[in-house]
Amino acid sequence: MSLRQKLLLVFSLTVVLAVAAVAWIVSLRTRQAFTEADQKHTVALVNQFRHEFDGHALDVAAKIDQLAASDRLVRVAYELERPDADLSPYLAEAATLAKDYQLDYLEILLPDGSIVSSAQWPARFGYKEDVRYGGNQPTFLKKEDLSDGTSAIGLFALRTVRGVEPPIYVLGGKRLDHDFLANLAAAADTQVLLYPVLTPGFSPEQLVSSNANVETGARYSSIIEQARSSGQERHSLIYLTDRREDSVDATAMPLRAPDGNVLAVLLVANSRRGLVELLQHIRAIGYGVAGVGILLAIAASLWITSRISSPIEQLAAAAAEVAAGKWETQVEISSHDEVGELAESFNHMTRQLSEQRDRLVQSERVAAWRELARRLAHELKNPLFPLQLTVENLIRARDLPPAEFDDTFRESTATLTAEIANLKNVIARFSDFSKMPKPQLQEVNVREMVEKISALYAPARAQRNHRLLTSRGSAMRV
Amino acid sequence: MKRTACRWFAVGSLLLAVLVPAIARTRPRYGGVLHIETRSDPIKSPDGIARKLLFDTLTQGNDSGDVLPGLAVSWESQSANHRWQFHLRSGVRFHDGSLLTAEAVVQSLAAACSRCTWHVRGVGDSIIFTSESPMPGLPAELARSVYAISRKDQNGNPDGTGPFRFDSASNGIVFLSANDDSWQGRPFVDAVEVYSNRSPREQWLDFSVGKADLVEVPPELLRQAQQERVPLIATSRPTELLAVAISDQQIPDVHLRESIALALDRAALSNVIFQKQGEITASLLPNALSGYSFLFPTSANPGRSRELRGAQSISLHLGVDTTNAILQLVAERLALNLREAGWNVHVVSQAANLNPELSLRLIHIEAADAASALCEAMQDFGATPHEESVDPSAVYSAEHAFLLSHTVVPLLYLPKAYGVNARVHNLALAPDGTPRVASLSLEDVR
Repeated sequence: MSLRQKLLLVFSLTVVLAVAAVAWIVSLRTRQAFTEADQKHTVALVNQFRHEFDGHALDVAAKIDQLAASDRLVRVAYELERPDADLSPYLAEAATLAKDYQLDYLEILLPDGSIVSSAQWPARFGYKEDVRYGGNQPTFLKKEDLSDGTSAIGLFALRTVRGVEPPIYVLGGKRLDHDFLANLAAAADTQVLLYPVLTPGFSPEQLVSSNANVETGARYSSIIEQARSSGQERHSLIYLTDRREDSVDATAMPLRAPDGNVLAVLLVANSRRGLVELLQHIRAIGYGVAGVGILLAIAASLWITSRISSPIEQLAAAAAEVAAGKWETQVEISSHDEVGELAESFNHMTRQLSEQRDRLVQSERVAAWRELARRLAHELKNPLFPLQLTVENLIRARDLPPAEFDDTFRESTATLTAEIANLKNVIARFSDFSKMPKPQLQEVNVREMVEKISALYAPARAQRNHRLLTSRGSAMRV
Repeated sequence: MKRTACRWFAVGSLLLAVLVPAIARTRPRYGGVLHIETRSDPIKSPDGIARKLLFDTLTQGNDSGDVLPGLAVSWESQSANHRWQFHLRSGVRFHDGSLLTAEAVVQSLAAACSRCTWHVRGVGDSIIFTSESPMPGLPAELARSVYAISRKDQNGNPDGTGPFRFDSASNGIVFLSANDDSWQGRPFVDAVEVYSNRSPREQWLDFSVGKADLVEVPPELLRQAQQERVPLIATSRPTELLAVAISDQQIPDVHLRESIALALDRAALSNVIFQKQGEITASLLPNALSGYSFLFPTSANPGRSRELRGAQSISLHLGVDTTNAILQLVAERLALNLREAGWNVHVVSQAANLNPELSLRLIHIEAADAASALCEAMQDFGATPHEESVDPSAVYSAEHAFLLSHTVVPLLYLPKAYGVNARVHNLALAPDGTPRVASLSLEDVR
């Protein structure tokens, strides 16, 4: 990996990590901020809902109070107080009154709790209700069995009819169902659900909302079971589907009967869709900014690495040239920083190297010439000395008899000739020193020669997967 | 003297002025349109008002239970009541003008009678009934409206020989007009409009504002109507039997059926739901008809019911006509009784659940004699009628044997009553509670 790539990688990673860290911190802080705001919103909604619920309870209580004080019911109560009272004319009385007072449940009860008239289950006349069930509470929750074999939860109030003794009771209320929930004011992104505890286990079909049946009722099972078993309010984040935006901040409020049993669990589910979509939007923006930042960072890294690595690369290339023997290589100095100083030093170094090399060559050349001259002198000295001696012999032989002179002359000339030939030979060898030797032509076997030569390169051929193809014909001689 | 004569003349004129309108008011007048409202289908229902006006039967029954001539002027039995011959009234015409013939009668009876044991054929102007078993009560049985002689005209409209002819039907209203050629004589009113499928509340409202002349007053409202001094006409004896039918195919154990029967509290139904207007009964026939109804115990016995049920846990469905609010209320009360005795009962719509184990039925007893009434009741409950006998002990034995199977639990006998507008005069009810519209007249007719 080149320096440029390393630098690019390091720079890019640094920038990416930095951008990612910033985006994560921003996202985290944003989520925390929105979650806190959302929790406050949920708490406000739950409080608002409690207020609404209490308002409806007061409404039920007010209606039953009004009913218990009405002349019509007082008249009925006086009729019922008679010893020989006939109850049958009042069979439909509760249904009529319930309709007039917009109540879902209404029963007129004798002092012993016997039902005179029941709006919700007219056939139950004569059966008894527990008139002490609600205690002294102005309103209370009660599980009501219905004629179709089902049960329902209602918000009830029990009052005695005004001025009648022994007391004639009127027990009425409203059913906690989707109509009741629909009348509760709730924010647009808030769903109010009610789970009446009618069976021992959790049954998602029983979960009702203000608008329709709850398709994802099973998702609420955990929080409902927790609230139901503990009897305490529970909060939880619930994912209705696999999508994050389909999640709610749910608050489960157990609704208790006067005896303490949890009769229903009220769920206020505040949708997190807005929050999640906002977070996703912020995250998308973060990703976009990070992407652009990364691209910019890569571009900047490219520029920076080019700024840093280009002179170094030039230096590396110049160094390679120097290594290859091109000592006079110089690099361009494009900056005045450390890299510029390095380039200047490099140039200085190569200049000095060149100069030193020239001086070395010069000195070697001088030394060679001196050696040559010394050797030449030495070589020339060897034949010159016999020549000097022979010449001196000839000079001295002039004084000798002619016969001897002749011998001496002959010997001397032979010696001179031999020495002169020797000199020529020395001079010729000096002369041949600067020449290539002459080729000596002779007959060779080309095939053998090629095979011998190729044998030298056999490892290289094997490495590169080259094959030598030779003919099997007769050896060609050249 | 002259002065005295003038005085007498003045007094006489005054008396005439007072008495003539009074006499004129009591004399029936022809004309007018009678508005009737009813809950049931006025033609298809066996006790439908329009059915009685459109069609005639071979015989008729009076309040005493005597059988009187109808389309048949006379009849005689042969072969120890195995063969009966009815002679048709001559000159009777259908509303389309065609003569009533024995063939038309035979066709009508054959169409009406799918489960009859007798065979019918026409010979001249006589109708011959034959059966392998004796039919002592056949003349009384033929007085039932189910055996009314009817047919369809060319347009598919009902055609009969009754005092009114069918004009049209639209939006649940049946328009009838007086049959001038009726063998019983022309009715007083010119036309009758029968508004069907009207709930008691709607009928009551229309009656209150004078929109309806004749409305049904169900037993549960009868007391209120009496207290409010509404002009009423009611049957002298109850004609509607409220009973629970128990399927012996689905509950084959007679002890379980008896357990169900013992769980049902009739007193609460009579005293509260029907405002003491019903007659508690455990027999198929009302006491006024049979005289022995009191022999059947009516009190509920939940303890004995639980004993007979044992430890079995059976889920039951009680079918009821849910469009009838009072029957629905009764069914819910009975379901409560049964739940108290340990049964798990659900009230269901008879229309939705065609085969419930229990069915709450309100049947109309038309026959005016005990033997025929028992026969009619047993047929209505899908049982094979007993061998006919007019002997009261034989009727009792037959009914007792039938009730011992506990496939039918009689609960109450209910009267039939109508609210009558003050402008309606001379209205009387047939023994089965059907208004005799042909004999009434309207006051404010011009």
